[in-house]
Amino acid sequence: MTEPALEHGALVYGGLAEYLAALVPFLREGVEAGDAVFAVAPAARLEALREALGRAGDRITYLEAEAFYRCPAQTLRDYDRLVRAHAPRRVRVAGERPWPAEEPWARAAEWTRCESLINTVFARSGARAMCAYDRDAVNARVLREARRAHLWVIDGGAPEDVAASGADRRPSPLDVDRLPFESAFELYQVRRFVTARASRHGLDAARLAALETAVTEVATNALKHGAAPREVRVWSHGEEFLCEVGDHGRWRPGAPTGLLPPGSALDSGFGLWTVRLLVDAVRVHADRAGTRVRLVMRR
Amino acid sequence: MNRSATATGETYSGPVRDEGLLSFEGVFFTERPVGQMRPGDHAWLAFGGSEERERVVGAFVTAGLATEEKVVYVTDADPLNLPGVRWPGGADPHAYVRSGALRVLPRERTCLSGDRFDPRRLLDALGEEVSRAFGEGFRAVRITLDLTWATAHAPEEVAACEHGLAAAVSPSTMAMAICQVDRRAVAADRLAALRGAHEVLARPDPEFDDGVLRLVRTFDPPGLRLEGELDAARHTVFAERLARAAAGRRRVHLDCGRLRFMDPAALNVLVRQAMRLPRDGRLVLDRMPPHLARMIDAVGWARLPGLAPGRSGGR
Repeated sequence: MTEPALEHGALVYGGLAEYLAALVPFLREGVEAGDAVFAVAPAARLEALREALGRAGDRITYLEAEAFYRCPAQTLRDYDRLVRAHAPRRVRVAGERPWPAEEPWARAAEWTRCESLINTVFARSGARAMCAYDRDAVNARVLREARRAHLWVIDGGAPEDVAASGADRRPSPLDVDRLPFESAFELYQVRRFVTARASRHGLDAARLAALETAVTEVATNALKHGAAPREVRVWSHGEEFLCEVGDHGRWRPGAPTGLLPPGSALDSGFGLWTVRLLVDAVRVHADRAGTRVRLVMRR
Repeated sequence: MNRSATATGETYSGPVRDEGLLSFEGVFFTERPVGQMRPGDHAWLAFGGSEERERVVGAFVTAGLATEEKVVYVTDADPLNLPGVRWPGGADPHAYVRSGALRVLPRERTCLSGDRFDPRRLLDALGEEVSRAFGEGFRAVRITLDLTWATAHAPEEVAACEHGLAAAVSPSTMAMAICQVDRRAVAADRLAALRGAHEVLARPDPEFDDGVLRLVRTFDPPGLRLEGELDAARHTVFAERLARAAAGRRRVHLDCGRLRFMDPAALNVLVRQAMRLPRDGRLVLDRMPPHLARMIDAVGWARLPGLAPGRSGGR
């Protein structure tokens, strides 16, 4: 079995309520799991977190961001100390660097690079990290870099902000076949629904079976972790057959994305990882309206 | 649950299918769960252990008596200790004997001439039991006997007896029979020859069957046969039946030949069970269909501790 991988994600938020809605459950989960939990943020944010976390917050170490994020090399050294000092306990960090509006890009770039370095330095640490970005204060270039450097991005904004690239634009409703489902006993119908249409699109037997496995897993996740109403939507786009499972739950911060190879079938994230192996592409979108997992299969 | 299927204009007959005919060396058989046996079935059970026998013979006898059919068991054993029958609590075998519903026929009075197996005598005795049953008000007669001892010393006579029994039972609207043999005590070629005189292979009733997934206990090798589709709606029942089939065993086999679908989360269920097996225990996946083989190939056996590939292809 491999060593546990780092799960390093980003939160893009607007306003304190959104900030707390993502970070409080993330930190509380760490306390409940017995992690060594740290919150690094500007002083005003720390105060709000402490208040919102209540008793659970007593077991969290709060660090002021102004002191912690002085220079990237020091910050990396300090994170390294935290991980080593608490091993074999897992470290969980919610971090937020203040991004001064007047900061020149050259200086900001040192810190966006630092985010990428974290992925390398702590790759096998098993740590859970969430970096918060204030949408109203951080400039667009920094946000773009942040999306690249993190394994997952939670964006509380409106859906149109999330569907960034052309390929991810929503299809016109007329082209889409949809099937609502609300129980595990309907997974069987979900499979029939998807394979009938994928077969008409021209997928061969092996790829049909792979898609059938993938959509069942994603729909099962929507039942376990998502919220009603749930539905599966399918449509074609040129060579591509697209199959999207949507629900109205919010993507749990820190939930595995399935990008990193798990140690065994017992690890959380094994299912989604298997899905990524079976289909041509998986795109996860999470926003205030819910969670959408899109599976792409080419003919 | 059918709402969505109707809404999309699709019909589907269900994933669990009865294969119907099964072929051994060019001879065709119908496999039948004991609970679905009916008059005219002349069935074969080559058991490999007491548990397998109990699940077929025990169910055959007790279900017959519970539905007021007549049961004829040729054996020297006492009604309380019929081979393969574990009486349910509160059952009174002697009451069945008194009412005539249970006929326990000792070999000496049924199928022996001196100490030789006498097929003619057996067929006459059984024929009389069946013809009397109609007048006694029974709608069916269930016959069972263990031929292991006779096969050992008089194989030709047993073969003749089986052909006679087939000729008597198959066209009957009253009689059904299970011929038992302990396969551990009889040579393979003799087993095959005797099996060939039967049209039906008696099987245990499924552990679970809801039309989408069917789980059947297997005994050679020990484990479970999975048929149909396994997804989150059935993980709990699967885990529970699997644990039961694995109890006290080191190697447990899963026959996946008729498994049409399995989701990735089911691998988690399998690994969990494998980890509960004794040290060096294995959960062996036999006859994996291509979709399952490809999924496991993609994730790698190394991520499935305790699981191992078994034999492939047909049986």
